[in-house]
This record gives sequence, structure tokens and C-alpha cells, in this order.
Amino acid sequence: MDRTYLDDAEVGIGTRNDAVLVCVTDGTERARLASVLRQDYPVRTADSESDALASLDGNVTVLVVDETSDEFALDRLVETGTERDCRFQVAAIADAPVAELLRDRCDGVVENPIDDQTLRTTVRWLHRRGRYDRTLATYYSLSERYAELVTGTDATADELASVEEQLARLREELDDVGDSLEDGDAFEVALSRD
Amino acid sequence: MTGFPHLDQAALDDATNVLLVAPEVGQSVESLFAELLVSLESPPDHVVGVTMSKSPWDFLEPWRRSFPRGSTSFSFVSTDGISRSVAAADTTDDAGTGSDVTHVDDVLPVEAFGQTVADEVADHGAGTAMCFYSLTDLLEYVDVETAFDFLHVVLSRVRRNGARGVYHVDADVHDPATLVKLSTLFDLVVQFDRNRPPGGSGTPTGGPT
Repeated sequence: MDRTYLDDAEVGIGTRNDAVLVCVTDGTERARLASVLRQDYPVRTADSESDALASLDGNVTVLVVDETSDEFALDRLVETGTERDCRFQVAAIADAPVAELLRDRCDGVVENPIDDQTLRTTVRWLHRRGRYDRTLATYYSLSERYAELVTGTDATADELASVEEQLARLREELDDVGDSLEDGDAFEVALSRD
Repeated sequence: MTGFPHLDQAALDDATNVLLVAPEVGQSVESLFAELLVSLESPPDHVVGVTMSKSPWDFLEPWRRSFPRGSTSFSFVSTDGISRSVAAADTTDDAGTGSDVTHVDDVLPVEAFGQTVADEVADHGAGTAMCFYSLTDLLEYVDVETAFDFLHVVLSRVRRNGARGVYHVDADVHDPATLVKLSTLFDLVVQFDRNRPPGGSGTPTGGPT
């Protein structure tokens, strides 16, 4: 590598907007859910699977999918996201009889009829899990880079100081979000990404 | 202190999670753990030993000699096969130092192992110090990235409970890049210098953050 300095965007610090993607076919319900979630996060919406796939990128932290609609195939959305190397948590909207069956396939389930506060609580929880997943991955990559510089022969003091400063800032964020998770969530998210 | 004469005591007092880099051969790692913890401005009132390749008994005797009698209790999470018999045999209460041993059948799955460690720390809460022996053993079971992720959660649980953690790694076993990578997780890195005379040596090294 000719240039050893990496700016925050290249490292992955503070460049994602951690959006929520709401995939619901019914226009009124989609607008209502988006309005509720916009109190906390940037929200994208999709009324079809093709729209959802077009919106699914590295900025999406939580995917909310209406499983009661035939329009969206949850497994296909997840598979496509994985192929694109996106890291997101999945919440399925489901009717009570099938909600339990979905819990093995999703990170969270929101049962119909959707209560605003339940939706916000669930998405906030998944958003923290998603941020932890991403931030831990970024921190590991930065630690690898730091190790390369420290054990190599070409790094200057300024280069090392720059990476150390990035590590310090990112670690503060990582520790905050990690500490906010319960034990089971933290272990599950951290160890499922390897 | 005898093993770490140049240690920045204030940095150690402030640190929540400390990486102890020390060679396995020729050192009593058990005593190094104790030496660091006893030196603290506020020594722990309970020590949780996490042992993977040694018996809890290997730690208990040196720790009972190092900590003031009656001031510190001990418990263990052990993946070592003989810990059950140690637990059964260790029925004495030496000046109030009990030694409960929680046996974990295997390090894998590592989530379950980590949860057991987290539970033990949470049960004793603030004023507890956890001694993790060792990262070198852990890396026999999982790759560096998995160990890194696992450790971040364990360190977080220690911090959330107001406890402290000291984690041993054998510098002779791992390449420098691995040690540097792992060191970024810790508040402080303390490195024992094997080339100094026994009973009077040690070099502290601050972590990158």
C-alpha cells in the first residue's frame, strides 16, 4: 500500500447512517411504522421485494419485514444481504400463530397488531445489536491494521499515533454499545459474526 | 512489588482490564496475578480464577499465601478435567477463604463458557477481580478473531459489574502481531521481563489506548 494513512471513512468510523429498512406493502401501515421509527433512526421504506433489494446496502442496520405479505421472501432478502456483505438484524412482522415459528429465523419478531412502543423497543434493541456487530468488526479490522504497523518496519510515529487515536475513539463507542447489551445478546452477536 | 518494580501503579489502579504478558516457563503465573492484585489501592475482596489448563488448586495455595488472611475469598470457573476432584477435596475453609469451583465441561461452545464466567463475576459484583488463565489456552480452541470477539464481551461484563480483570497470555507462544492485536482490547498491558533477575524484575507496557 502506497498510502498508509486511512481516514475515518476508509476505516469505517462514523460513515454509516445505521438506517432501518421497513418492508410493508400496505401504504398506510408502512407510513405509520416509518413515522414511529423515524423518532429514533433514519428510515427507508419498500413496498415490494425489488424495492427492498434496491435499498439493502451497508447502511441498513435493521430490516423490518412484513412476513404476512407474500410480496417479501425473508430468506431471499437475508441471503442477498449476506451476499452483499451487509450486516443487519432482522425483525419480522407476523401474526401470533406463526410468530413463535419465526423466532429461529429472525433476530426479533413483532406481532400484529403492532403497538408503537413495542415496535420502537424491539427496533432499538435490534439496532444496538446491529451497531455492536458492525463496530466490533470495524474495531477488529483496525486492530489488525495497527498490529501490521507496529510489527512492520515502515510505520512512522505519526501513522501510529493516527491509528491509536482512531482506536481510542472507536473503542469508546464499542464499549458503550457492548455494555448496553445483556449477556446473551452480546455473546450471540459477537460470536455469530465469525 | 518485587515482580514489577517499574509498574505505573496509578495506571494499574485505574485500569479495569489488564493484559498480563508473561512467559509460562520459569514463572509462577499464579503469583504474578496475586502480586498485581495485592498491590492495588483497593485490593479485591473476591477473586474469580478462570482456569483452563491447570487445576484451581494450583492457584489456590499461592493465592492464599499472597492475600491477607481472611480478607479475600476465592472461587473458580474451570474447564480442567481434574477440578471436580479438587472441588470435592477442598472442603476446608482456610481463614474464611472458600473455594467454590464451577466446572465447565468444555471451552466450546465458547458462548456457554463465556456466560458461565460472566455469571460468576456478576454473582460477586463490585470488588471482584477475575484472573483469566489464559488467552494462550483459549487460542488452542478458537481462532484469533473469535477470541477477540469473545474477549470483548467478557471484558464488557467485567466492566459492567464494577469488577476488574487480569488476563494472562504467554508471549513466547504467539507472534507479535497477535499480541498487539489482542492488546487493543485492554486498558493496560503489563509485560514481565524474563531477562531480569528473579524476584526483582518486570517491565510495564502501556496499552495503545
